[in-house]
Amino acid sequence: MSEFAILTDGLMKHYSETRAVDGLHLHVPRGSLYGFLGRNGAGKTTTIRTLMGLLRPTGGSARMLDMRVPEEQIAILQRTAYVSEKKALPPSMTGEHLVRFNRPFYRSWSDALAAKCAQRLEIPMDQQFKKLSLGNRTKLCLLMALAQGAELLILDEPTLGLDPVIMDELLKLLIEDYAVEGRTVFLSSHRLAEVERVADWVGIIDHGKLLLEARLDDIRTEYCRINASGNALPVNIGPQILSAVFSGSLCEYVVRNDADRFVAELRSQGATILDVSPLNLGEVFLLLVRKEEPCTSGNVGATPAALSPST
Amino acid sequence: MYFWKCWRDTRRAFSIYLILAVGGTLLWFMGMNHALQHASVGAPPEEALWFLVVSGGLAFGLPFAAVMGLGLGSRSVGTEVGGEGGDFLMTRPRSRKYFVWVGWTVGLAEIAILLAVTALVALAVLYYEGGPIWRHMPVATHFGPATQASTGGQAENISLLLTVVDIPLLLASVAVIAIVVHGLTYFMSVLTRSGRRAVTYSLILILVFWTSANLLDRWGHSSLPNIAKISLYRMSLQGPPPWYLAPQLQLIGWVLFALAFPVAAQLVLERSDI
Amino acid sequence: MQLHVSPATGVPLYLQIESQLKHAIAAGALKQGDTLPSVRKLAADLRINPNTVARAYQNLERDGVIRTVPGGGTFVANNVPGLLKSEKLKRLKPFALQVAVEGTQLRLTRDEILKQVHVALDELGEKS
Repeated sequence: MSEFAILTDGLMKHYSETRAVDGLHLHVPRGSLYGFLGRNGAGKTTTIRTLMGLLRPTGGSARMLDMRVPEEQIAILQRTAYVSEKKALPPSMTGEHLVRFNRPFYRSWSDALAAKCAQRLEIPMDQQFKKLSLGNRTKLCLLMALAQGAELLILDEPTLGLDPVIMDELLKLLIEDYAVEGRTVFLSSHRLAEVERVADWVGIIDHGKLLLEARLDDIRTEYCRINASGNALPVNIGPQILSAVFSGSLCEYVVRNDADRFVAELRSQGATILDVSPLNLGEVFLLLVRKEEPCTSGNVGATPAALSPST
Repeated sequence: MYFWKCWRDTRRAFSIYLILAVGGTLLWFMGMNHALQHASVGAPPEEALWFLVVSGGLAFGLPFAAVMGLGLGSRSVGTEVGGEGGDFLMTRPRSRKYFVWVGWTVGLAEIAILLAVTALVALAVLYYEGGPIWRHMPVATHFGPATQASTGGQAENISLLLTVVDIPLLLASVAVIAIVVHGLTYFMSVLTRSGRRAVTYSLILILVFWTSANLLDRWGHSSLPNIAKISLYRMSLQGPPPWYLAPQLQLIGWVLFALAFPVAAQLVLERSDI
Repeated sequence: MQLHVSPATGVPLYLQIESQLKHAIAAGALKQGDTLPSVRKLAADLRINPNTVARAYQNLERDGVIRTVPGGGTFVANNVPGLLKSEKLKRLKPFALQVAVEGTQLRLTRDEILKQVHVALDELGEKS
């Protein structure tokens, strides 16, 4: 059995005007909770739809649960649950109808889990889908996927319209019934705070390619913010220094790897270290994604105002 | 399951068509009986009576079958994809082929049920009415009371032909029109992903075909295969048309043509992005 | 006792859990032999990844702070690690260095820095 729930090799999806996915190499370990992040238009949804067999890849290959996409798609779909970015289900069916409709497709379906979701997420099961609010639609889509009891759960923006209480219940459900059972969760979301709580792996996609794929803990220990003051502070952005923002004789660096050695170097050049602190996921994300864009301000790299804590 | 869902989606349209079909058929026969009973002319010869019944049936039945085909064929997995719920359906563990064929089959079953029910109800009502149509009915002349129309010999041969050939042909023509139009509309709904566009384009194609067929008949020296004319072949005063094949073969040909539509729909859906 | 984590600070969550548990044990809020919640339960309660909790527990067990019984149950260990004195001092050194660096950066005197350490010890003592 492969160690990866999702594995892509140079996956490509090109349209006539854009290259939505442009050589993607994803490695999603089995049993992980993988946060798939990126700006709008970066290629997250296109990647997911291609993996789910809705779009046909232009090039490269992909495997889900060790089966080839799209040749073995039906077997993949049997063991994979999905919430689309469009929270859409057949409009005239109620929650109960949908459960009745969906249940026979899956051997692993659990009515107990369906009931638990309906109760915890406060879903009205007797109203037609078209009459539900956005939040309730999202919740029903989630129920359809969670109750399936699949080995792999793929969620594209699963928090649309959810209030904080329901969001919290959702996280609890994901942890209780998924992460703990050793199932894999692949989650694409803009809510970095929630992702940062529950994910153990993170992949950041930009312009159809991966900028970063690592354990979240490694990201936390690798990236470091160093505030220093001095007269001869290094200016060059090397591979280790991701950004350097100057204000007078002060500089705020963001460094990747070997922060200790960098600090020692600065000290040896007579600089005073004012602060060394870690970055959160939101800050790392903004830094990496903005780095890909042309600098417009006078500062080199990201501006400090942009590195605000994720909410 | 998907069969159940397709039924749920089309049952309202199906019920309406059923009521219209049964109601229309009853009105036609009861009206005819009434008119014949009060006619000042004596009982018409059997063939003429049945010519009236058949052409009446066609005048009502064929357009109705086309409308029914358009209506039942306008919903498919294609329209789901074009509207809401497409992502959900297409990520269930079934092939796209499955969705196309199940949807088409449900439509077909509804057509078959509707025609069978209509025919049975009409037959039952005619029997219980016992009016002139039933008395002159080819089968009834063998079981029912003797009428002045049974002259034996030649008349018996004619009535046999009517029973075995003409009436089944009439029913088959209606069924085949429904199946062909249903197939066409179904294919269009998968192709265009919209019920409205499917009905519009199908209607246009049907009208173009029908108009061309009629124009060719009248002024051209050839003609297009025309389902409407099949059951009238013996009644035609102009003699058999140039494309003449045994009517049963023609109908089989049309059915095979109708089968091409779900096949085409499957190929289209399998090759496209959702 | 209630644990909490702050993902937004950028400090790895497993470290936060480890330090909170150590703090609680040192302050006497958790005593020897007390049960700790299972990985599953703690993860669900905190809404964090079970692997994070598992890692924290593993580290704490490696350090001898807690122990797991096969078949169920995680408990506070009966004696804070059976380590040699030299090992213990070695463990404390980086933290001492951190205090020293911070204090020096803030231009505090040696006495002021040491006084802070005393105050902290007193506070810990009060809690137990």
